[in-house]
Amino acid sequence: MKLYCLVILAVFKRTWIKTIRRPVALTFSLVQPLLWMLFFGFLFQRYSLDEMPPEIQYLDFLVPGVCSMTVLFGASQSGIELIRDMQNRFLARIIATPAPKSLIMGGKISADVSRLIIQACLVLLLGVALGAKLHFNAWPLFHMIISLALFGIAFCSLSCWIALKARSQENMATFVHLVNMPMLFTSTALVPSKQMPDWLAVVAQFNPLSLVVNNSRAALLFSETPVLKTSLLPLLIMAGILFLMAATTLRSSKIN
Amino acid sequence: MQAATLINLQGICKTYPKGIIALKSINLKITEREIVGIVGANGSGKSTLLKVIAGTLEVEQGSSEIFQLNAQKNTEKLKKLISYVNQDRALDPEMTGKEMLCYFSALYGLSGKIAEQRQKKLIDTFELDEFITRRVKTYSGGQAQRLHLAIGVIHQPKLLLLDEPTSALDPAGKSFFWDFIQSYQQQGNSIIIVSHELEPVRQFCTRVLLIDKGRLIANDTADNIIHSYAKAVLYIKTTSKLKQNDNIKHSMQQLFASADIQFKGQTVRLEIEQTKDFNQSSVLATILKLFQEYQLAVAECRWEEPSLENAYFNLTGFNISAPVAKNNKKKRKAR
Repeated sequence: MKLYCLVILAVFKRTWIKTIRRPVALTFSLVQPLLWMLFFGFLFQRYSLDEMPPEIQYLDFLVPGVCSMTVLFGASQSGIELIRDMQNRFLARIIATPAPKSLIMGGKISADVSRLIIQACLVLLLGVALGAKLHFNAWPLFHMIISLALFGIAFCSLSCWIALKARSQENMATFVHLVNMPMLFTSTALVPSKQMPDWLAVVAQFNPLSLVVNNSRAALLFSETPVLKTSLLPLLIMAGILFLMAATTLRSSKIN
Repeated sequence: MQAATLINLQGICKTYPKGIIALKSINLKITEREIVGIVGANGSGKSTLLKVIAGTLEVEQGSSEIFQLNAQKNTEKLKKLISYVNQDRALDPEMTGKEMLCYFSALYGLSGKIAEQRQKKLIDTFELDEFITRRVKTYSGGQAQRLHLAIGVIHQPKLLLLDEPTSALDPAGKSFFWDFIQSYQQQGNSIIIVSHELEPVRQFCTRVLLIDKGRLIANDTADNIIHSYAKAVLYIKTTSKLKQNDNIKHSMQQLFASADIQFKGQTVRLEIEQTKDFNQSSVLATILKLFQEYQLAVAECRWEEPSLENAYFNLTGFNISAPVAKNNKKKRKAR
């Protein structure tokens, strides 16, 4: 048990050290959602949200979406660090140690997810600063954070899995572009599903980003906690499967 | 008491994609507490052999036992006993040396006071204290190499595998490195080193493996290899340019039938096999007498020390220290 904690903590610490020492990337990850809120928030200021109570403005509706989007965009970059480690042979050295690879992956992903949660909270505060009216009640907020964390675990794992398979930053960038934008525009992050074309509404229903966005909206706009079975269980299953894929790929990697 | 077998490779074959043969039927036994030098030209298979021993490369054929364990089935157990220090310095440029030591201490399961003591010892041994708190990206090549090596021995491996470890080191660094290797062996550990630097290999390695085109062509002490395969080389420089080369050459060839004789300007190069009755003084006396007969004044005579380089060249037609070049191939063809 002690060894497990030791490894996870060491990897967690290293991931955070590297994040802090790259302030440009960290800053940009906050500037991007701010721009989304500014441009979309004010562009669609008069957009009528048919299914929402009249007191909810578009910016209120948008902030939980941008919050979830921040986690998606950040998580999809998680594997880039693995590629850098691969390129300077550092990963081969890590693999050569007897430390369990699932713990190494666990340490990395937990550091990335903790960063994403902090970023999501900062985005919320930015949203409030821009004038969004949100509710902050402990239990729904906790439910929202768990939901974001599970989603973060899933997409960080997917990104790491792709990185271990793709082994180059160019391929990784293709994945990021291929996943992020379609995921965003086929979800309920920017528009309610009832105002989407029928086919898109069906797609949005199965989009995991919609699930996280809906959980966040329930917490922040209505102080509600959706039923765990339908709100968290699918995310938990997805996070578990993708984490196992990433950890197994790292374990079986032969990097010379 | 006979030393236990540490490594036992039988019939190891490794082929890279596109049919590039890296290792051909390697049979090798290495006992504990040895310092083994692997020597060969670029692309001869040295690093591949080291990777096979380290367990980072799978082979098509053959069996490998390390510490009496099947290397393919016990990779995780062997990771605690072996360290493979790659020729590329695998360091994170964004981290400090101290952070790197802490990180790898944890990955090897070292914690608390044990980890601290081990790190302190490594900082002292490898003289890292001056720069240990700086980020790795600010290190010189030598400093990075020392940290690289320190991390490699953080878990005190019983078998240390080093791939060209001295390539970035200055003379002082090299001397420090070989001192460390000797002391590490004296602590009861074994070391296998791939190197192009033949003099230290001859001096410090208890055994030398010569590799050519994936084949193990010699496996003995450096002195035995040199005695068996290196030829004695004599350089004679005359005061004037050599004329009537053919006559002298013919006479020399009659005296030393198996010798390789080359003329260039004022210099004659004579390469002779070191047979049982070989004697440097008598060879020199015979040559000087012959030159006297041809009325040639000798300005300088010099015997070249028989070396591993020479032994390797005689076995393969390749120079070890020179990069793979066309002239190497030409030499081989000519032979």
